[in-house]
Amino acid sequence: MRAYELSADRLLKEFRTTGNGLALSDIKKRQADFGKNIIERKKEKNYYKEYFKQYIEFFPILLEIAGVLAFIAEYYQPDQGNDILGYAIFGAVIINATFTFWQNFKADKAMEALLKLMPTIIKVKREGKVLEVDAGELVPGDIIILEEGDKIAADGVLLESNELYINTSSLNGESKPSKRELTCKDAKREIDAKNMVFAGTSVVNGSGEAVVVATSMATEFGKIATLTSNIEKGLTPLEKEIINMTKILTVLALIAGVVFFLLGYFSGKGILIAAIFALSLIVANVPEGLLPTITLSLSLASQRMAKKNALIKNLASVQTLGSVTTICTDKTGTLTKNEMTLKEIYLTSGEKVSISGDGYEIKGEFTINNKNDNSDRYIKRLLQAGLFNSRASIEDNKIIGDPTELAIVAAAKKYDLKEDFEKIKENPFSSERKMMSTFGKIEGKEILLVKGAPEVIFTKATHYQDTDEIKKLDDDARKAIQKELEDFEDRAYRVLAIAISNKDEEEDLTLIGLVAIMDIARPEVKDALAKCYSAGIRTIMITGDNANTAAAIGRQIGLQYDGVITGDKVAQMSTEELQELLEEKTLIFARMASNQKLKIADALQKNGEVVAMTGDGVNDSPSLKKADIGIAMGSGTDVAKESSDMILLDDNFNSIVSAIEEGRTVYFNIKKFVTYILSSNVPEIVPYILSFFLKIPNPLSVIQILSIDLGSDMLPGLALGSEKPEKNIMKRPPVGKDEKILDWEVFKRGYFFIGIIEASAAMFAFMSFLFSHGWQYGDVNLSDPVFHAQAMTMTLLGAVTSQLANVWTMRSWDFNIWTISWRSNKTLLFAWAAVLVWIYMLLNVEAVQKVFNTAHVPTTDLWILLPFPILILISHETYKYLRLKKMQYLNID
Amino acid sequence: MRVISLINGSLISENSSVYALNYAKKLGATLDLVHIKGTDSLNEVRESVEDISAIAASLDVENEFIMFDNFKEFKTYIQEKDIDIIFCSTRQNHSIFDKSFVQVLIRAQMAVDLAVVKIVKLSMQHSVDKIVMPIRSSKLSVKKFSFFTTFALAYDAKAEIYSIDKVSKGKMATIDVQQERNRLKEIIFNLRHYLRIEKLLDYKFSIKHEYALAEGDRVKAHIANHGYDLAIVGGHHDRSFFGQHPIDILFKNPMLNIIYFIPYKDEL
Repeated sequence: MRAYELSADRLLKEFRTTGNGLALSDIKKRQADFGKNIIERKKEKNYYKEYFKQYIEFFPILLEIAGVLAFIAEYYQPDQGNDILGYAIFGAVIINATFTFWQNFKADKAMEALLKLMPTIIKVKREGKVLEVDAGELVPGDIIILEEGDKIAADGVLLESNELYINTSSLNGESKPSKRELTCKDAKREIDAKNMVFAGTSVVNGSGEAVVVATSMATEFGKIATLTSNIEKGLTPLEKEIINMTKILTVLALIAGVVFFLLGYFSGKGILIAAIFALSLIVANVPEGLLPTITLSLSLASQRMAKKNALIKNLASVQTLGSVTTICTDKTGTLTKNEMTLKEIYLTSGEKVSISGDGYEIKGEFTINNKNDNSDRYIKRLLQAGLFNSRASIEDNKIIGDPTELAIVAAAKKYDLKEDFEKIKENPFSSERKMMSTFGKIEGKEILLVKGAPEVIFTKATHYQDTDEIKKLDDDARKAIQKELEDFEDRAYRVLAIAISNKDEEEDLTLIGLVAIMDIARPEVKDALAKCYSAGIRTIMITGDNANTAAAIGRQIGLQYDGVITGDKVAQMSTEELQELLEEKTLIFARMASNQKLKIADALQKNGEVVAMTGDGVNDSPSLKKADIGIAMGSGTDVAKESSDMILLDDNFNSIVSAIEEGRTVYFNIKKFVTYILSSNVPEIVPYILSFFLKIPNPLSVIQILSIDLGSDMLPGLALGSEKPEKNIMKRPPVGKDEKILDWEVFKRGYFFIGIIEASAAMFAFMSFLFSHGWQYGDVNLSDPVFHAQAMTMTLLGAVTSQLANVWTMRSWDFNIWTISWRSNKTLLFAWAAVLVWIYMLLNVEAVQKVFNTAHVPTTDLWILLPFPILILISHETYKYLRLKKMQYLNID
Repeated sequence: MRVISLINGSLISENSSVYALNYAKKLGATLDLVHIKGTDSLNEVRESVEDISAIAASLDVENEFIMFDNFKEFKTYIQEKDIDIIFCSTRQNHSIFDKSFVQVLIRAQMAVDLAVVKIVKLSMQHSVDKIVMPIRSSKLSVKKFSFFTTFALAYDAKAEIYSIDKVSKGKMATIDVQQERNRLKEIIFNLRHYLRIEKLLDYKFSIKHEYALAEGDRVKAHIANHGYDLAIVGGHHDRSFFGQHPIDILFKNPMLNIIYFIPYKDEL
């Protein structure tokens, strides 16, 4: 027997307490036995420690060793510029560490928001006296006093309940207050027991007394807190990519470094020279600017998304959006407007009325089939009954009240119904009665107007209004009206029955009609869904509504689904069974408790799906955390918002699809600038390798390599990160599932295609400058340092100018650049201008020249740089054209 | 065979004894309700004994109340009798090895298994519908399995073995769905001898597996999400082995009643 199943006497005995509460002498002992009634908070991350960790990863350690080697080299060979190199390398390490930290770590404030639901002071009965004590001091066996407005601090079983209603939305998402009773009925779980109250909920109405049966983490609220703080989100696709990329690039850099160190050492260049040489290759191979560029690009994308009503909280999620394969979305408010609309009326006199205008619009037309002389009169009476049994109002854009009542008020406004009702008495609505009535006078005549659930009104109605007269509601008439009701319900309408009487009694009513109300789908959802399907993303609707309503809305919005499954069936299934089902079918989940969302997210993720999940309630927080992308509604609770990765400011499904489009764009933009950045690695590496094998002076210094990686490549790289979506972006499968950013295509284009051309450009510029100024092959140690600096400047410019062309052709991964407006990426134009200024400074500003070993080169020598950028443009555009022709799925024209 | 439940008159020791009772019933053992004199109220102890004896009678379990003047006498008793296991509750404020009586028991190195019970929910000991035992990879000793199975059978509960592999962030990045499925198959293969016993006993338990960056956190989230009534975790006598053991995380502020099973001699 569970605590909620025990009789009051047995409960008190089991908990060794009485109706007067615990003895004060017991409290301390119980506190020692059961601990304090506090929700445990996970130890907060030490951010200094987390930041420090960024310096002891493999990739930064490699650079740190390189930096130390540079300082050692400076010690043994002073004034060679190795100290500047050392500082530059450590600068790169700091930049990378800072950007990684910025991207990965943020304070988790979900628990803070959750804890606000717990009270600090509560009323408790001990030794017969009511005391106000710290909520943390509560122990099992305490008797808590519950009054309207109180927050509840522990789980308890009720001993007394006086019209007690509590708001349990924090636990089960139920927005309507739940009445508490003294019996648990047939509850199988604590959360379903009607005689229990729960920590983290609040008293909406009435009063009561309860025995505390669970405190702290053992409460239902404690479970939500545990899930909120302990759910481990998997790594985002981007985090996985960065780990993979770092591994590959670091291994490549290390191999190159070790090979050339050994070559240098065994060819008799000495340990120091060989080490510096190896170090240069490592530095050249490591794309130092990659991580800062990714982070800044994500940050810019998140700003663009904010303009589309999607507020990104976690930077890495931007790219994750691009990988989403399944969207699990709530119905109400996201797919629909959450504005109930009275769309149809059935008058018992036989007329069917349809009403135009969606939501709470107050303009619309009434179209009546089989209209007769009395139709208008009956419609008026029916709307009067609805209107005067409602507390909702729509006045000057102020909308107040229950959505169903608002639908009737809006319809009454459309009908231009005047308030000529003199109210005498009201019999309020309650969830038990499922009806409401108002007694009053219309045009001097007394009348009772009744509105309620059809099944209730049907039992109280004895007559119905026919065309000209009131008739007895016999079996045939009942059947006819029942048929209309079923027709409405099949079409997912919420139906209310309207009746009247000339007595102030809710009996012997005369039924006058049915009103059919529906939460209308957002008009833009249909297109957004179509976009999802063409993008290979499936959408799963999760709703608390019944299966009929869910399916009807699904049909209305064009949702593709194989069937509807209800929450009770999901509850009986294991995660594995659900996994199997979801592998084969796309389902609508109806009558779902929102705590079941976590199970769905888990099953989908175990099937390898990248899941976006929407939610707004406190109890949605675990599923929002679990999903790859947790999407909180702007109108949702603080806990949901704090647990999410993205907040939808307008609650609109369309904004999710826009965000996914942006996420995909970011993915391809990252791919573009990774290719762009890798391309420049080749002209950094090749000159070194050639200088090793050929008898030529050093073509490029390490500081010049860093000037490319952390200087001239950065802004254009960022500009690529700001490119607009490619036109096929939502016509291809989700990214990242079977493809990597750093795939063979990236290597091919970056290293072996554009990179080789760039290396040729750099070496051609270097060699032709040397030869054109009288250099003889074999003269390794140039006596004139300015001449050497000029030659190295040419190598550097060979790479930089090639990158200027590269960034332009890389703007589109699949399409030719003439299909894109040259002005559509203003950041790129700015970046281009900035690089040109940088080139000017390298050539003409002494301070810059001193740091970067460059020198002025006459303009006549610079013309030699021109052919290679043109070659890059022509060849890459031709490559894209031929590739596009091969790939049919990309060819959308 | 005898099962001992240590009582001190507190609610938690009384509740812990109910677990001991169910365990003893399944094994057909006698339950010794043992109190070692100290600062506890003897009246409360006697009340507890009465309550537990009443439940024992309803479960048809033979029981006996024994009071010792000191720990030494108790230790001697353990050496002389055929004791299967000692159940002992521990307070919420105590971590398992903080100056608690449990610590005294462990240090005494008695030739008997220990079941340290942490009660956070009263009245849950009467009916257990779902029971879970987290393990690391496929490390499961025969003793632990037999303890777990006895409980599952005693309560006719749905039982689950929840296996966790702790991995680094780098490793986690490389794990895909297929690897996860293969790993589960591997775990099931490694535990196949227990599955055979399961068949012999005509009883079914499920095995789940997950990779995790932080074991303790993952187990906590799993428990919170699946509504178990009781968790059984395995431990060792040797405290120094633990340090920041994930089980400690689980044992601190638990959300359900936990039994920490410490076999006399550790074995895999």
